[in-house]
Amino acid sequence: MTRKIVDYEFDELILSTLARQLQDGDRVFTGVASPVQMLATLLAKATHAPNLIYFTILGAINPDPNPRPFSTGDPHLFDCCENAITFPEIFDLANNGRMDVAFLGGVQIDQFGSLNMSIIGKDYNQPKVRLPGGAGGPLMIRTFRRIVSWRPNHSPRNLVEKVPFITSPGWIPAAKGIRNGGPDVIVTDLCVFKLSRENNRIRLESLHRGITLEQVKQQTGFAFEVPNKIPETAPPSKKEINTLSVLIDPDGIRKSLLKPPQ
Amino acid sequence: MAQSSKFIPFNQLVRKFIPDGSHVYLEGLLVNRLPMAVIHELIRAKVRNLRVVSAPNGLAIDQLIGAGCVAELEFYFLGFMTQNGFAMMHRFRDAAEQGTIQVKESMGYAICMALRAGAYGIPFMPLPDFRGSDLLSIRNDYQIMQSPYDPNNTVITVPALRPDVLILHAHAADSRGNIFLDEPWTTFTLTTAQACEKVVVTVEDIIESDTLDPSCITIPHFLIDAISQVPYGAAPTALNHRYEVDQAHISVYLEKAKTAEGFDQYRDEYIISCSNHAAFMQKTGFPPPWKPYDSEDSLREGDR
Repeated sequence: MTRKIVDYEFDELILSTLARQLQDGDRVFTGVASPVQMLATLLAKATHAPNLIYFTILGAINPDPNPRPFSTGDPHLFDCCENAITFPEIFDLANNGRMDVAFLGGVQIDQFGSLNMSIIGKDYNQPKVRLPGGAGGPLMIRTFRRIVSWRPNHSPRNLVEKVPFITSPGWIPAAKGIRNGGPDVIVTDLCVFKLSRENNRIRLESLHRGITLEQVKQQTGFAFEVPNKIPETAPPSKKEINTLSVLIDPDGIRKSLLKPPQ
Repeated sequence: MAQSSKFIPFNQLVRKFIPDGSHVYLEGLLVNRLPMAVIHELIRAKVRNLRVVSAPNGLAIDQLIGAGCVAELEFYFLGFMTQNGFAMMHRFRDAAEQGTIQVKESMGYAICMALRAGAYGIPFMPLPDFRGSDLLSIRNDYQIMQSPYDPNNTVITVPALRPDVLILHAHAADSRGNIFLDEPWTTFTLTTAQACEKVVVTVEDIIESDTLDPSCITIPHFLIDAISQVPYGAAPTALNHRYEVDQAHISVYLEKAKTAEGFDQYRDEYIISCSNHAAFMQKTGFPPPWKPYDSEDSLREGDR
């Protein structure tokens, strides 16, 4: 028999790509409405990052809930955690440089890495669309060492040249004395972007299986750097796929949370 | 021991302690421990012009806004995940888009620090620099300040928050009025209680005094103003170790609340026509009982 290349599903690719942004020993925070990020963090901890410390918005530390909840506010996270802390104490830790990675999303993300979770439209007081709010993002984007963004529905409407309202600031051109923020990595359903805090540029890192550069260009509202040779996003390993289906998400909630584009 | 006079019938709790125009803080997070019985009672009592400061408890806020109880909302995130995806808060969204409520957008840590200032009895709190965020352009009360100790260190100050009333649903009160939350770390709830002028609590159980381990008391009785026993007072949200999220009923709400008319139907059918929370429970059915976590189960999964 010929040896088959590992076959994988879209949800497995996204979870493994997000998990691989986390390193062993990282202190990782997931916020509101983040079940995908929760599964990715649990996957990293069960595979390459056993010493990762996972903080949830509810305050539960290293929870191992079974079954996995859809809401990061589910009290089952308390029931199976090693320890707990209060919400503002997570920020306190970050202020003192004691937190490593936060998952932060934006309904819109722009070329400067700024996130908009507030409004779409011109008049803040009577916006075209009122968004849910930026949660802890405006400060976390600066106080955590690394920021990872998961941005499904990659489109020019949500990856934009300039957000109409900066909820959480990326780098601010022309602003002196303000530390750069912004995501270090944006994982979308089409590709992976890396952002450099040194030269303030967004670069295409890899394309997901079957996605072309043209597609990404068409679906992105900002310009980005393109490497000479664009790699395919590394596929999930057999171990990651197995860990996901046996240990991390036996109920398969990832299937409803992560649907391939179109 | 006789019960403290702080125990009052539920139908008096709102009328006596949360009048029109109150500045209220709502405890609870996402789908955990929202004070839903009190929210429904505020709607039944047609309380108006509330100024609400809120943790991310979208379900409670959305219902208060839909029922016309809110004049001003200070918040940092509204919405939550369900098995059908992200639940958007449509009554909030419509009100904010039409400008019918005053929106004071903030961020989680700023509200927590403002509550700390209120609890500590000081006028403001400094936060690390978050210039670059447009929150500073819409919040004139947030100031940029140079540290008096280090000219290179810029901080953002937020004024102390001292709401009139904290609204909280808890697991139990003892007969003296000490409040117990069965969650692993609850010190910020105490800070919030200290920041608020008054604290009103609904509880699942009332137990004898001297039966609580003092280290388990979340809020001491002298900070509490009123307590009512309301079983399932957080439903349709969850309460740790007691009951699960009632996803089915929340789905009913989310579907109805997409439009103002739908919300009005929900309000009439599930809130107004139910004279109290027990009647609401009768109508919707009890929430799913708590399913304890089975660590044995998880280990077996790992061995497979």
